[in-house]
Amino acid sequence: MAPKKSKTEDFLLMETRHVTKTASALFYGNGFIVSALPVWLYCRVQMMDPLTYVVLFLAFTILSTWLVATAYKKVKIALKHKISLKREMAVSKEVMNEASKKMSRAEKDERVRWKKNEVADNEATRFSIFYNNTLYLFLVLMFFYFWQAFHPAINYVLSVTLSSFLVAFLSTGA
Amino acid sequence: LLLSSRCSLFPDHRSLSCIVLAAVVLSDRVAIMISRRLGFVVLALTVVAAMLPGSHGTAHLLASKVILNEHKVENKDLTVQFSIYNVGTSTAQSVVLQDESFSPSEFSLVQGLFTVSWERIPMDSNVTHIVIVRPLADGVYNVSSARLTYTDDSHNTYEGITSSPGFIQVTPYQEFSRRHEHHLVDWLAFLAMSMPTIVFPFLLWYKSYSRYEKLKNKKE
Repeated sequence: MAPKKSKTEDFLLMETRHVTKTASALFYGNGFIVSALPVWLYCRVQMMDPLTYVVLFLAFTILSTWLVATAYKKVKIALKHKISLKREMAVSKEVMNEASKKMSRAEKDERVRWKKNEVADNEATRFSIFYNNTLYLFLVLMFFYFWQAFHPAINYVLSVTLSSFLVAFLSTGA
Repeated sequence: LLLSSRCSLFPDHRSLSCIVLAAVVLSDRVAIMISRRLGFVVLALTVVAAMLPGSHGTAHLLASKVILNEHKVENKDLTVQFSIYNVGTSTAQSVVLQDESFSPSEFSLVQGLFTVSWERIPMDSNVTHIVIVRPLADGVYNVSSARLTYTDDSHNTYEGITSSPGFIQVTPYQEFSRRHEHHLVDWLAFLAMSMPTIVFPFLLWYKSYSRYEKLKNKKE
């Protein structure tokens, strides 16, 4: 039994580090939306002309998107393993209730493992997006007021850069 | 000779001139009685007193030109107030105020007139005139005085100028908006756009979390 458990553990650990293409696309899509929001804020409140600063906006939105997406991945990977251990019993119960009596033990175990991985993946992904978006927007708003005395362009560069770097940095410790 | 010269000095104030003449004649008689020198001194004093402005009644206008706005902003209305006070002792007539300090290439006229006239401004009274202009571009502008002309009861024409606001700094609209406007609608719109990026992931996570927590608690 012991080797099986360690194999399962190894399998889970391996799977938690893997980010699918769908998840990756979701992360970059969300990251882009969240990184584009400050552009609208600076154009309307700080009265920055979008055509004059289009290169600046594009460059720092892309940088911020990459950093925020990196933060999503790291937080997700860190959370997935913890969530899968927490959900083990509940998922097993659910699968056992749904599974037919004709199914073999191995099939049931496989199903439990698959279901657990799916639930952990979904929960970790959603929580990661929620957590990083909240942190990023909070930091942007904080720096928006902190750098208010500076020129709007400098305010934007500093706010977006620092916010995205901090989000990425804090995700490494999650 | 003395009497005729005095009458020519005060053509419109006969009663007053009569009193003065009587005083002068009396003083002359007294001078003759006492001495000729004393009489001439009294005469001189009477002439001087008669020539003081107060006793004639002249209009005297004081005019100010003030910009009422605290912030002067590009393409935003600028309110200019002209106030004219008659501090003289008679009515000012045919009062004309003319302001040429707002060039049409730099300011557009929104409301009011740059040239305005009043038939009369009684003594101890005042009038106010408002002109609203709009600066077409930001920058520093020299707002100089307006010209004022009026006549008094003696049909003497007087010319004067109002006070001058001097150099004014017109701020660019973007700068003013950035510093002073509250942008409430923009902030609400930003909130509306950013809430889905937080609320939807949270709700999706919470749905799964609460479901499996219930299952776990049910099992226990």
